[in-house]
Amino acid sequence: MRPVLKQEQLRRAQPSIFSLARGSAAGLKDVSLRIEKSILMTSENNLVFDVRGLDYSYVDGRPALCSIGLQVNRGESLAILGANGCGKSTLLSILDGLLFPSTGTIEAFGQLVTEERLAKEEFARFFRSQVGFVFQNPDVQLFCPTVWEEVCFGPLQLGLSRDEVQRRGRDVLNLLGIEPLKERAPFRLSGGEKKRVAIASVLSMNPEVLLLDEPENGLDPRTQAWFVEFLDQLRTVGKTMITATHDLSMVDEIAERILVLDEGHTLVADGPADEVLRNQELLLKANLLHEHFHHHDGVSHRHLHSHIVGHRHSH
Amino acid sequence: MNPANRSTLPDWMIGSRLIARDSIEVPGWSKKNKKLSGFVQKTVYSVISLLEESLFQEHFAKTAGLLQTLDPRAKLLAALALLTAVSLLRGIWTIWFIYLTIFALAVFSKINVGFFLKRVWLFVPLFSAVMAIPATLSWVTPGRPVWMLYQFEHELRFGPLTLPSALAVTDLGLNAALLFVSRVALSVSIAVLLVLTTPWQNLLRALRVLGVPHFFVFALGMSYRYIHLLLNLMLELHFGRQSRTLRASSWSEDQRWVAARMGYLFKRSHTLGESVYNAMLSRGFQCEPKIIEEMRWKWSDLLTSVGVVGGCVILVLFQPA
Repeated sequence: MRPVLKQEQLRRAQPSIFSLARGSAAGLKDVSLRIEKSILMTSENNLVFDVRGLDYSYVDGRPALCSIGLQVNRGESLAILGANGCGKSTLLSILDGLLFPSTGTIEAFGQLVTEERLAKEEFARFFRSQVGFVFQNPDVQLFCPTVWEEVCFGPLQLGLSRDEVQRRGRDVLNLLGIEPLKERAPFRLSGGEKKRVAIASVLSMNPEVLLLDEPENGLDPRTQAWFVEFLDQLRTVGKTMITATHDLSMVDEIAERILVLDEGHTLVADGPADEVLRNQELLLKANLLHEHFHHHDGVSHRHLHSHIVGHRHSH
Repeated sequence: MNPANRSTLPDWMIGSRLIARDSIEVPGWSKKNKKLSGFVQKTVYSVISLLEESLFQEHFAKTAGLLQTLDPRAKLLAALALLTAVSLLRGIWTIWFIYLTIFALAVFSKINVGFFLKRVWLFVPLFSAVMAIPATLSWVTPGRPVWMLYQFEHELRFGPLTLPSALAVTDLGLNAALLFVSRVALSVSIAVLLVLTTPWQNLLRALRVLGVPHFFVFALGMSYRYIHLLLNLMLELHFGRQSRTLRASSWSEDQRWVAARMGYLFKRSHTLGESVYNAMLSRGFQCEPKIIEEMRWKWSDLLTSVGVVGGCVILVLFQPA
């Protein structure tokens, strides 16, 4: 069952999301950015990401990703499923232009993403304004002295006017219900609060694409429920969302399409969420399901176990 | 425990093994009640409590007091003017008059008097009094002897250096040492009062007034923020060790452990630095940090800075020769 937000939160959140979305083009003062924006609006096939033949190896030569190919369309909500260490975070870092493939190519909004191109200010500003990354560890992401500076950091780097930066900052603080934390130091916050601030700090840049690395990590059940609802709202305003997770309990609520990475670091499935989640053999192979020892009614036996949609059992 | 799972466990793990307190044998362990990890524990706790107290304690900065109402930039300017004046003033009475004023400001700013005095006077003997002691001696500062320490039979010669036969505390030496200690005590008091009445992040922002480059202020702010994270990590490392420690470790074992953890923390901070930089890049950072500043000057801030700077100039220019 989908968790329900308090009416008051919804009332406050909904207009702010739309106002943020409206504000994205207006806030870009640089002409070159507007040109890139127009490229974005008309990019062929509505493709956000086009990844072809991607391999990535760590410095010591261990493979992290092998022969990955995927396309992501605008407005899609996508989950990358995989066990620990299969390369989900690495893939997100590559999609965010923080790491670069050993072989293969990645295009974002019809533009080739390379280290050389991202070293140029114009392309970097365009790309960073369009792709936001919520890191798995909020301690890494929150580096400013106060929550307020944290949410203003991104918009300031984009070169938005001071008024626009402050408007966005106020909006995201209200949107995520963290206005009382405005003057607090991020490192003094609880895990759930840090996560909200991390999301707010990315949302204030109003990116078209949101990359979320195990966002449910460290959240208590109530915050997790709020988070699922919040992502759903973002989806309704047309944001493209790519979430890396290994938590099957929430994946069908946050994604319409699922990619599965196996422990060989290859993409073994790409399809509609319900279809992939029904394929228990695939999930078992990818180490996302496990054989569960069960003891009831005086009988002991094993069966596949997962927490997909309200704890399904197959006896 | 179910039988199927039991079969996968090694033999030594199966079954309850509650052990009588006096029957456990650990190699190298004596049954005397030795303290566990005394050296490491004391070091870790001391480092953490010192840094927590000096860097992260913002209790007084958030109290509604006199100095807390002033803009951090005004306070920083005034503090710098005072520090400069203190290093130029020669009159001990003038310095102590300023010290009493600073002390009164601390009281009006609702700073705990005991805490304030401890923060200042624990550092002063450590860093200045010890250094000032040689200056009181006749061998360093000649003058009228006030306390004879030792009378040698004749002058002492060390190569080209000749020292008088009398070793005594001199009036000029005492005066110089007292002036030095007073200057240090006042300077530390000014700095401590500034830090206690201003949140750290506001203080960093105020540095911009002096034209300190954005990048430097930004790096300083990040260092401050990540010291906290690394402190917590250090504490967790210590707890991780303590929870598995059964016997008192030797001094050399403790030292090896501390050295190894220092290396680990260094590597960890390097990795952390890379991750943080990536997070900054991801949010559009291009090596030119832009910071939102919202501090506003009030008339009281302007009057304070002009008053203190002017007062310092007068004190220095018109002090007796």
